[in-house]
Amino acid sequence: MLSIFLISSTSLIFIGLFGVLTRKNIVKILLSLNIIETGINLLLVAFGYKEGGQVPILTSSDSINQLINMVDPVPQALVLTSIVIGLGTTAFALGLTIRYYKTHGTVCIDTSDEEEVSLNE
Amino acid sequence: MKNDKSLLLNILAIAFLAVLAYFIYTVATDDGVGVKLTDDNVIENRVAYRYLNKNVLDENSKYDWGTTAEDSAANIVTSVVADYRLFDTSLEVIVLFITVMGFGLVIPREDRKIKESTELLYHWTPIIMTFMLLVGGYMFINGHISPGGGFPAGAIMSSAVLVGVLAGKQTISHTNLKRIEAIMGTLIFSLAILGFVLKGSFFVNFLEGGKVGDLFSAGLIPILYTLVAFKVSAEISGIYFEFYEGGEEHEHA
Repeated sequence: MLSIFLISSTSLIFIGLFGVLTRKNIVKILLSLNIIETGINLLLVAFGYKEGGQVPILTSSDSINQLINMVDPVPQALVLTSIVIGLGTTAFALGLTIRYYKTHGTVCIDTSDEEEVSLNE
Repeated sequence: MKNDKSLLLNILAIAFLAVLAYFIYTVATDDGVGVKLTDDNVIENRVAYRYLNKNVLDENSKYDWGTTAEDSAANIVTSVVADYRLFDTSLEVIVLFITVMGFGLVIPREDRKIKESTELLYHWTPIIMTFMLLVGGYMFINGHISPGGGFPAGAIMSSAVLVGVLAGKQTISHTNLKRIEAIMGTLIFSLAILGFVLKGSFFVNFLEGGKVGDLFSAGLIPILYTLVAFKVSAEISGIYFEFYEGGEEHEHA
């Protein structure tokens, strides 16, 4: 079961890496970065996965006996942190993108023509 | 702009990623010594075993349903986030604050406008906002006994503010948001210093636990999650107000 998680998360990471390497639109690059982030979060949670494991929340007096069968709570707590920080950095990067668009008139990073024009001015 | 160069770039990227993927696959399936990632997860060998049994600080602490424990939160992820690893969480709140402040700094101050809302959205907004605030409030109050907690609750509450912004209703002013954020941030660190004064360590859970599974249990965790929820919602709502108030200034100028 873990190999399914490994394959899906690494394929998400590689899809994101492909986007970062080849796209020229800044917004698409940021989307690819978010896809990488999702893949890494999935990978981290998958490391704590246990075959037939339970949610690490006590819901009744019976579930205290199942402590050994619970999944690892530490990666889940770390991913909670990572999601919030991803939100903040994405918002900051989009703000920078708006600033870039105001100064260069484009969101493309491969615009040697426009840059030459603005440098000549 | 689509020329031969971009096709070459795509092929090069695919080749590079294929080599990378081959190495990762080789490492993942290698028969070396040590614990493999694909091995079955044995919880007793991990640090999480102590967290699950709630005997990190006290070896003899017994974790049981309906009794007190070292940290009596029923949700073990919450007890990791908001008690054992609270330094992580507090610094995470600071990182979120810094990024939102940076967003306000870098965003240009002109050409911002919000379209007039439709009649339907304008009249339904109070009802939608009430339900969203109820769900958010439920989530941060019950963060220690059910899934949820301060961060998702803050996101839900800030989306209630977003609905208000989209409908053109002045629900809360930007200055008040900044005030809420400052007060909550100060309170979080005051509680940390209070723990240092009372029990001798920073961010210690100094309140009595109560029974596992009760609403009033887990000591300091519900209080801290309430503060975190309000701080996060004020921070994220600040992003929407950056657009909203900038547009207003532009119209008046």
